[in-house]
Amino acid sequence: MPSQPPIPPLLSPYLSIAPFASLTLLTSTLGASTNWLVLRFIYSALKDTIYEKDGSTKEHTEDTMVVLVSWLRDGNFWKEGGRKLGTNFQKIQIVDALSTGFGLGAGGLAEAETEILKAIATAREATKENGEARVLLVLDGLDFLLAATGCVTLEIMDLVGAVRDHVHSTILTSSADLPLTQSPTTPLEISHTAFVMGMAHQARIIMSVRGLDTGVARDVSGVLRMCRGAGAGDEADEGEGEVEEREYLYLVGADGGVRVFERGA
Amino acid sequence: MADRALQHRRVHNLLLIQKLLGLRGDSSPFTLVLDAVEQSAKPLIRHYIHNAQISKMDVVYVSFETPKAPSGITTFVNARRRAAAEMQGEIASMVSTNKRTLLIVDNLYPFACNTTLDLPSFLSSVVTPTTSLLAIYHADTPLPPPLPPNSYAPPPLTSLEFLATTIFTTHSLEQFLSCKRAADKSLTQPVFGLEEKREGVIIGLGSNDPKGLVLEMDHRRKSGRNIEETFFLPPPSSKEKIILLEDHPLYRRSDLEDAKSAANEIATELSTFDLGITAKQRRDREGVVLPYFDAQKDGWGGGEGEDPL
Repeated sequence: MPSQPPIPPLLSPYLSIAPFASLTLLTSTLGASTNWLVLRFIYSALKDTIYEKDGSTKEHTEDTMVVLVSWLRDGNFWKEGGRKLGTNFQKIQIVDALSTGFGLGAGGLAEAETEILKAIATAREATKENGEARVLLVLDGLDFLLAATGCVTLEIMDLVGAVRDHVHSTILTSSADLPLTQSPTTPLEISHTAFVMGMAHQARIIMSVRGLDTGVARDVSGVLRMCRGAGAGDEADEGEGEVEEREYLYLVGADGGVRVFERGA
Repeated sequence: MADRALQHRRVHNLLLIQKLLGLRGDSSPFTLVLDAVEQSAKPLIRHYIHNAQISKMDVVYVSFETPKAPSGITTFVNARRRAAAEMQGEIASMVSTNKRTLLIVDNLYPFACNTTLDLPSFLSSVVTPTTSLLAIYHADTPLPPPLPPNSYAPPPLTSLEFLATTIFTTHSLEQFLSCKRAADKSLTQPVFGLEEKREGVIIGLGSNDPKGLVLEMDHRRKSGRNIEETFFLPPPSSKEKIILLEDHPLYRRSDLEDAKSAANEIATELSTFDLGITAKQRRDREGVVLPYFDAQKDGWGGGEGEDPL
């Protein structure tokens, strides 16, 4: 068991299940990955209690299923990470896009979309007897397709839009390194920037992970910034889970435990 | 004088923005909203939908990125993966000729990317005398470089800005205020989001401020004269009204005044004396008869200390 609690207390308000049809955007850099964050999102979605903003907890009333599609890590990686936290893998449908490489072959994006929709349908099927389940879709490293297939940004954004229609809420991870987002010049840089910014315009929360500005430190892995995305005011969901903008530091331990703390703490 | 000019601006420009937001008459057939992730145009759109509902207009919402229909609209058109020509036909069929319609396009990016589409003529074709077009363009989303036949054509944003009768630009209130505070002190203004030029940062803190947004307006009159103004737009759920940004209490308050009043407070707190006097003390002081008081009266003109008799 890791020495830290599975969900860092400071993060718990952000990890609770997002409202219907919302998108959460997680961005990473080469030196700071979002894998630990994704694992905690999944763990928190499948846990029986929801953390409220004021620190109180309440019981899940609906069943939740997770469909995890990853282009950058294989199934074993996620299983191992999840097991350390104690995640219930019966409720996770892992689509290992790294090993199968779908979306990269002749089928292209259409193939990727069929696979994702199939996985969503399977997840629904699995819980049919318990009534309708909420499906949380996690798309990890979708931007890899952009780089690997050279497809148009719009096609990928349409893909995200299409699969979002079938699930309760979506979490999307993408890289946001300096050349991929700041003053892009090459076609790939431009399309990547357009993709990340396009998603940021739809997202309710944007959680960005980056390395420490002052360089590598032993006791800090990186900086986590949480911002209201442009999709925050989409509906009259004000009051229910207003996102608080924050910047925290975090440390991922050797055992996979994560500590999140304020600057100077 | 400055006060009167401000008062004049306040009256005129507030009337104008209320007319624009209320979609009264044919005030603005094509309104272009330029937004960024720091401040989305969604709250402004909600204001528009709300006002259109009040004036019983049809609202047609063409969605590229909004997954579920916002409340208060008449028709929701899912435009994802649809050809522009098809959209044109569908929009034309939705827009009735005898009822005024507000047509909202939530993202012009797909149209702007479409190299085969002539954006100006497409937009002109969907705007009829009874429709007002309200379109959002994300200013921070880069477009792919133009391909050979269009290499020298102006970028879509330029033609959009040329076509638009009103251009709104949105800013986050919190970020706008912190820039102003820095400018007041002649400091370097803070930058947010992509401007920060930091690895991994795509959005700045203080984005999409729930307290309201700063709205920059550039309205072109029929005569060609343009009117520029900056407003504060409160969130749609609040009862507040749109005001000039200069009238916003947080904008007006400058740090200089703050410092002055703070210094005064400190001065009074630190001194052991009470330098002020009460009304009773003042009255008493006035009642005191000073020696040689008579000498100050007219007519006597006596010398100092001299006995008048």
